[in-house]
Amino acid sequence: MDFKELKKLSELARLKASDEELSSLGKDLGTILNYVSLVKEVAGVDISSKGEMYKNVMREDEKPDDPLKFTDTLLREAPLTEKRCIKVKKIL
Amino acid sequence: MTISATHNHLISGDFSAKDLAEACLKEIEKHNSRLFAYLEVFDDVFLQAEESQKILEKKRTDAPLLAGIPIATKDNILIKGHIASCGSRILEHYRAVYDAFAVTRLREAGAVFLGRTNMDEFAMGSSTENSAFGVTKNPYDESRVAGGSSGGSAVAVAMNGALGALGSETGGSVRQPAAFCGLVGLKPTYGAVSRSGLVAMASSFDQIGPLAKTVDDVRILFEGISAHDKKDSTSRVSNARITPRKNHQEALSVGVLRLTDEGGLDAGILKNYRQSIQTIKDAGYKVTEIEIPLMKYVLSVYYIIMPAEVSSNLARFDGVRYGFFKEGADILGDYSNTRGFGFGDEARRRILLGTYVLSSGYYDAYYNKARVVQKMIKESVHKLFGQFDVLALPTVPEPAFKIGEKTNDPLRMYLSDIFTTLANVAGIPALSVPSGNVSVDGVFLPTGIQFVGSEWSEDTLFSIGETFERQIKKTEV
Repeated sequence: MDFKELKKLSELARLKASDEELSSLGKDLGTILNYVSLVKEVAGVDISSKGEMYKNVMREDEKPDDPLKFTDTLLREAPLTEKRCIKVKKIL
Repeated sequence: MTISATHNHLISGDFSAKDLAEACLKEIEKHNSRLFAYLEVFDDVFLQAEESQKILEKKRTDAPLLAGIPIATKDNILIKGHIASCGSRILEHYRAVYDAFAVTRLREAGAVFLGRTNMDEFAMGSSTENSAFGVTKNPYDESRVAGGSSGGSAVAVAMNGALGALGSETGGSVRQPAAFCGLVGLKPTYGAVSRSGLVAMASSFDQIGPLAKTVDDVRILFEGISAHDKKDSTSRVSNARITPRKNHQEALSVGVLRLTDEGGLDAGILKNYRQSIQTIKDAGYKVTEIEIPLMKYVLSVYYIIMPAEVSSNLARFDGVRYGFFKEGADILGDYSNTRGFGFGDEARRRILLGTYVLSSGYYDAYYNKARVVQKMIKESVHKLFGQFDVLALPTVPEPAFKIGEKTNDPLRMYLSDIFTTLANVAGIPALSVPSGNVSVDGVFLPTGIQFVGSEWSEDTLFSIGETFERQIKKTEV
């Protein structure tokens, strides 16, 4: 896998990695992809059949918990909070 | 001592749940600093034991089999109020806000949770070397790995630091450490055990599975945790469970995987496997050597679909709602710093691999193709179960390897899963049972054989597993 492609992937995956690490990861991923490419030789595969399709299991959106029931417990795990809210940097 | 025997002693009052917990804690104190099975021993063990004692005294002979039984749980299974770090820096201080469904079930049965056990980070690995907190060592040879990713759970039981343990399976993570540590390990039918409260790695494969010293112990733990749970949409009702034929007038037919000297398999393992097949024959089963169609492709299918799901599941660790946080210049910087510093090598490898096989241009060639081949594998395995009640194959291609031997060669590490991933890819149950030892450099290392059945055939696997266990004991005497 070439370096540019790998750099792009690490950005897509939101994963900070040094150039040195990416080069070594590139080698590993190349070896692994080479091995898993074995699946390409299986004959009689109809890609359009998409494998086994899973069915979504739906439920009614009902009986909500009291809005504040779990708030404080959950917020205790959040790294940054402000006034009972999770704090993040601006998006736009 | 087995869970059943212990239960009888607890009921008769020969010792209390607290005495039992104390005995386990003593063993942990003796061995854990060397073997590193537990990441943490809980401080409320005696309180739990007292509660269990109440159940035992109130219900007497009606008390659940697991009342007062000390259990170890893998660090990716949530226990309310306790840390669940998944062997990762990114969740090092994360405290679970609810109980996993399997934990609730065991808690209701009165089991005592001793502590959380070491594991490969996010269950990614076959040696427990990928834990951010240290390596778990094999009790039979401390220079060797315990297997993984549930290595800590296996060693906790092997060192007598618990009567049973919960691990989790995605591609062999219960069975492989069980084989390396001389234990029984079960990967249940997909959907037999709720995934609620099990931190996700690859959701379409993940299952919680028990490890213990005997098939009966594993059966008791499985019965304890297997139930339908509406919180997991892939949890299934087990009314389809297959009852094994009780009268053995017509012996179960076992399809044993044909393996040759040229297959690259460890010579000791091959010899042990051939002896195991003889043992199965001696026990009266009908044995036929078979090929498993598409077996050659199983590991490839697994190592495409699994990282694809990993890359998606691990996207939630972004330093916003929970876990480790490392600030960056902007919100994207926050994410990539948090993830860049929080995840270890193997997690990074699999996230990138998954991102790659799902990216446009490669999606059809890898992910989609793997999904279709997975379906073909499921169908061909299903056909085999028209001919055979059970399939048998080795659990591992070699006995426990040296610590550090494969850490720089991820593909070699992945090949450890060559025999186990079939059950995960096909969604079917598999039970690994100790099959004796392999001698390496003068040290006897345990290994195992696995029995694989069709969906919901756990009881058939327990039945042949127990027969095999008895037969092996006879030959050892």
